[in-house]
Amino acid sequence: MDGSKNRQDAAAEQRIIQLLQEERDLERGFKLLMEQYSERLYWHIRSLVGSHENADDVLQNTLIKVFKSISGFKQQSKLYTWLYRIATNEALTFLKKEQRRQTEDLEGEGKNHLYSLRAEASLDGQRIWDLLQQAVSTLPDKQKTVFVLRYFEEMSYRDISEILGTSEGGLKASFHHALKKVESYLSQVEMYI
Amino acid sequence: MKKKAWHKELKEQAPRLAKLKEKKLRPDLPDGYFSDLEKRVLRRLNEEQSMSLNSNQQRRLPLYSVLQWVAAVVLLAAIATWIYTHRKVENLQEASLTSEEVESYILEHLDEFDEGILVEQADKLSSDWTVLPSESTDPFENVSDEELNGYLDSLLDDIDETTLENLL
Repeated sequence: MDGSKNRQDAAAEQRIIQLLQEERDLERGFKLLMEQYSERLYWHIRSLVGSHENADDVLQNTLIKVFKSISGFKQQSKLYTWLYRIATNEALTFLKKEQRRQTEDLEGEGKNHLYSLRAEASLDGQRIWDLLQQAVSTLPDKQKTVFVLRYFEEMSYRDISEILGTSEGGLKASFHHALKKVESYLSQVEMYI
Repeated sequence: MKKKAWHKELKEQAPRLAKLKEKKLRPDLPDGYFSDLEKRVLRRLNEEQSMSLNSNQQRRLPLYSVLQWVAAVVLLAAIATWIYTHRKVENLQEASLTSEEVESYILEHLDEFDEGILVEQADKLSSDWTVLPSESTDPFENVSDEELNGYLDSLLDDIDETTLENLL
């Protein structure tokens, strides 16, 4: 099942690359690229930046950057890992700007969030998402990215390595640390639920 | 196969996270979000392309603005030169005085002038001036000799001998 999907993905990727290489088919190729990857990129970005509004902004910037730099894609990596690399960079840049902008004490914000969680009786889909986002936001950038790609996207270490340019061994260690931290955060919150 | 192994590993390392993974994690999105996104991205690209065209035009502007500045400086210099020369002429015109003004000035400051220069200038002026019409240089031209002699005889008759002796 997975093998068949992978083959379809590979065929779609080749078709998109072919179209993007021709000037007259550029727009058609780009539309196909958006159809194929927008949703996956959106959830990856959303996992990193949290809100829909932020994810929407970052995704638009990502797609525009992709269009502008598509001529620089040398096919030394898979198209989708190249797209994820751009999306990750855009999301992390956005987060850095946001962190600089915010003057509020993050620790205090976290406590407030725990307090607000205590007031809720049950965890629905949105609440689980918010809870995980809050946990992920406490991680350093590298661990955050590895966690999102591995836990939410279920991406292989090989592909993550291609996206982040880090060794698979290093990625496994980062993911392990991130997993422990998020699990610990959830255990703290569980006390209030 | 690989995924099953991964989930098993996850359960062992992080049971809470593994439990949450079984639930629906993703929140709902606005209807038609992704089809709308495509349109918005294409619109933004068109806008940015037209903006970059404009900015290319603006990049050419420095040369134009330099030329504009040069033209403005040349124009200003031409206007300034014209005004300057025009004013000079006006000043000269303003400076030229009427003969009456010159005369009144000389009369007022007569003591301050060198007498020699005044005489010299007066001679020059008198040579230029015509006191009498050239054709009437002789005032007795139309008087006959008889009339003239009769007039002189009557004058002699009126003068007594003593006065006549003194005059001679």
